[in-house]
Amino acid sequence: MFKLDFRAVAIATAATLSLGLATQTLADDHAIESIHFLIPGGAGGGWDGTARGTGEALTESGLVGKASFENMSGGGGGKAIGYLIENAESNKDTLMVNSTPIVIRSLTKVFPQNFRDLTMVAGTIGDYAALVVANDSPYQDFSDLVDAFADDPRSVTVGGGSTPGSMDHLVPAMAFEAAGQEPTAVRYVPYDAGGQAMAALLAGEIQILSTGFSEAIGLADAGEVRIIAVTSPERVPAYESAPTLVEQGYDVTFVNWRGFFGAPGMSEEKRQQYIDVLEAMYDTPEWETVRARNGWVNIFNPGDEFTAYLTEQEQIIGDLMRKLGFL
Amino acid sequence: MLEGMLAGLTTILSLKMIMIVIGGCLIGTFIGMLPGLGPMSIIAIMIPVAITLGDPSAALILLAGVYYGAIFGGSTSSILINAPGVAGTVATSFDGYPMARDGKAGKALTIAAIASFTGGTIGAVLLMGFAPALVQVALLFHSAEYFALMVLGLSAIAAFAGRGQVSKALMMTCLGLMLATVGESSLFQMPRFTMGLMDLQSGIGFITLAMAMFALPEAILLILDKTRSKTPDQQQNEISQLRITKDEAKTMAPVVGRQSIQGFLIGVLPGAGATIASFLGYAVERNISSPKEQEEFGKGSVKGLAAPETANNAACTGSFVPLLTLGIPGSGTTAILLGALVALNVTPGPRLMTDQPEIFWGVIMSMYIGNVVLLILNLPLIPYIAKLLTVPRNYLIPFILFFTLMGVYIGQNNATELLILVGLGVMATVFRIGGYPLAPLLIGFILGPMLENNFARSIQLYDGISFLWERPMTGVLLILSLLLVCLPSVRGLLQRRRQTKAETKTV
Amino acid sequence: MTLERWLSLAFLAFCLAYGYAAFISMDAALPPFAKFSPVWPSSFPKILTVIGLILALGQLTVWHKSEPAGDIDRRQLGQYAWKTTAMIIALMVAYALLLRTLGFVFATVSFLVLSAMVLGERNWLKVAIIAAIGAFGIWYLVDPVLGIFLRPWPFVFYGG
Repeated sequence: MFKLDFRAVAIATAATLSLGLATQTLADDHAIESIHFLIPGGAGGGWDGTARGTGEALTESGLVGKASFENMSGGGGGKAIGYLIENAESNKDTLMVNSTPIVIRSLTKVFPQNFRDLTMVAGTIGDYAALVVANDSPYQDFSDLVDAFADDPRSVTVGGGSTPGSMDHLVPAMAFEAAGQEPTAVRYVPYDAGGQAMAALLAGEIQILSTGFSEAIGLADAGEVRIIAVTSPERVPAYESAPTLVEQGYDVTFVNWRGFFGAPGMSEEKRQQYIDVLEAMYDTPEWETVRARNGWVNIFNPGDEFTAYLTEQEQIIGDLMRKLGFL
Repeated sequence: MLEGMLAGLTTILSLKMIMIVIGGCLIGTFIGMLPGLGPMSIIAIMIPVAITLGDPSAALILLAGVYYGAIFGGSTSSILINAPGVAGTVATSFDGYPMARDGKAGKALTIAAIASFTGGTIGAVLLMGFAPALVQVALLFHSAEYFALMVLGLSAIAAFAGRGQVSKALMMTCLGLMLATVGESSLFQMPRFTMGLMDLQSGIGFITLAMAMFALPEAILLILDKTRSKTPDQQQNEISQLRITKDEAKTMAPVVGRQSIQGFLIGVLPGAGATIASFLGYAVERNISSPKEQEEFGKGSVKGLAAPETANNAACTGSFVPLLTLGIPGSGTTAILLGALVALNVTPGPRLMTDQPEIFWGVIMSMYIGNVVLLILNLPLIPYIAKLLTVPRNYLIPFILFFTLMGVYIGQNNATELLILVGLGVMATVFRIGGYPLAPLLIGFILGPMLENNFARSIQLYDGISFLWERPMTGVLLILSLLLVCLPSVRGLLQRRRQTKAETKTV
Repeated sequence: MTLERWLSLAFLAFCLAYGYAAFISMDAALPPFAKFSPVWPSSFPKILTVIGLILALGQLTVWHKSEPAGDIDRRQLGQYAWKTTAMIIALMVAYALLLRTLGFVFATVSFLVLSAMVLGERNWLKVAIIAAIGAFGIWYLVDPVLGIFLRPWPFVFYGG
């Protein structure tokens, strides 16, 4: 009796297995057969959303046959980077998602590696940074803030949803520096999440909120706050009324990019394949759906341009962090 | 308002919608039982599915169903195997698990289901009536008040300071607070106490510590002491029994009533949330109970189970107040829901109620429906869920162990975390045997970062600790927590004096 | 000396190590900028160290109670199944170490079968079948259905 049951289970299992294998061999006419996305953080975060969104657009548009996603948290992303470098041989079809913090965190030595240890594939999307004040704030533009700051640096408190030394802190520091002020005097208070920093802004605990532009648009749409500066080179069509820092006379631009990296030693041919498929993705309606859903800005930065861009960003951020005393 | 409610109701009440909400509740309950997949990650996963439904109200009702289902599923694993998968259900296991170990698993699950149903429903009523007014009050809370609120939450440990064990409970709280400081400080990007280990860089994970303190020591003790679990036939009669006695209902009712309101109000604060609400609910109910009832807390008290379950659900509903009226997500889950709303072209904020009333009311109505469906769906299932505990121990123990391991590994794929889990679990078992309560450690660990961050922020904003006396509300809250902790002993003292007086009189 | 006091002593030692890091080694790594801040990453740990030391010393000396606490009868400790428990813990460690190499399904089935056998189960085939269904079922739910990656098969199956 028991044996019979066992056999039935065994057959059923075998059938499921072979079915699984059959569907795997079906994919033929895709530019790339399959991509495995490595996500250096847990499910549900920003990196996770970027990888899954990109994978969704690529498979649904038929550019890629199959996409799988692996979350690997630990060490602020360092664990996944180390894993990709150590197991480069078996990760030829793997793309790791990452963003500006890879630059900051290798500068502050959170992990020993930096982006040069990986194969640079492409930066795909980005988000500008924004400075936000409450509706009833006396500050109308950034120069009002600079005046107040010049009078008394303690009268202006900046809040953000991340630790000092992260982007939310560096952006206001850069802006005040461009205005001829002392960046180390900027009082930055960290909150546990963007939402809490926003609540603190409305409660009057802080005067400026430093956050990502797409999040700022959402908050401004809700009607409680005003965006007084954005770090894009020109006004962004998605929210025309937000003035840039550049047009207010402060030469600061900043993009928090997100992009993809391959294991070290990836062949030039393979890298080009990935770049091509990512480039083709921008023209698909499937990508447009994903992009619009998440409010991302298309910023394509392939291959060597990506390397050059990161090198420059590393230089700028490194200089500022040295000045602020983080390094 | 009535018009809006009806509009919301008509969008929701169709066969398709009912099917969706039932499906959502089932999926949520089932996945929520797996520790490691809390409501937040389940909702994150379900959002693409919800969006493909196309219709915003359908998507919202699916997510509401999943959300409530996941919360209930989380309570189930807290009660049955002492494995709280999310911080909000830690307090549920304080009394839910002892009750289940007593062979009253069915009853415990029923109390949890009814308490969360009531909390959620009263919360939704309050949300409808007072959302815009309450949010203004919520904005009066600054970091200093949040700091005081966390201190108030810490007073929940009093429940575990049994006779003469105050110093032990405090010691474990202190250890929990210390463990919480491991990892990158949110004050500065600087690793603390990581001993150079990359896996400790982002600190010890909540699930890891919750499993190591609660589920794992229980499982290890079951292995150590064969007589610990009652024999299956002894339990069979009672375990799947749902019935709550009249007396129990009577003790429960005022607790549920109070905690629905208190939990909701705490949930409204963007910096607090369901976890604090459940601890505070537990602390307040314990400390205002009679000394006799206080003895029961931590050992399977009906009040001790009903309070955090009600407060938790009421607070989850309360966190929709800042979300819907200001567009501020107060918790991780509402942050993800905000993403879903935006993806559905709904902008939460003060204009939502006037611009898209059908959405606003649709959200609230789907909360009601989600709650009702969950209760109807789960009550008949409870006997079967409770019977899980009658599985022979040779099967049960390996599966519990596997559950704790999996909860830590899933979605993280970090095997080192498993070693940390086993190490901490062994340590926790030794402390258990030594008679040290572990719940205060977990409470300290959960509240620690919020305590430290709000304290540090206030110091930065005030350039010192002057906020302690400059902000009246902070002072009030701190005095309140002192009173709450002292109340039982003061009352005990008074009673003793009265007794001795009475005795001297009779003599 | 009772287990309770040994544990208080262990806590005291932990506090000393923690305090050493908080008071002495941590501030050396402080970025120069942070020195102007009224509160440091080490501020809270320093407070905790002081509280912890007071509690540990108090527990060791004044507050120590001879009556045992908790729900565990410590007179029974001799009859506890220490060997079985040690073996199960060793199995958990092995599971953690081999999980990535063996893959989720294989490692889980082995873990469940071996731990059931250590607990005294004879019918290993029955456990194996239940374990296989359970492990495969959970993998199926988590990976293909929910899309959360969980490497199911041994490492050698993946090219490289």
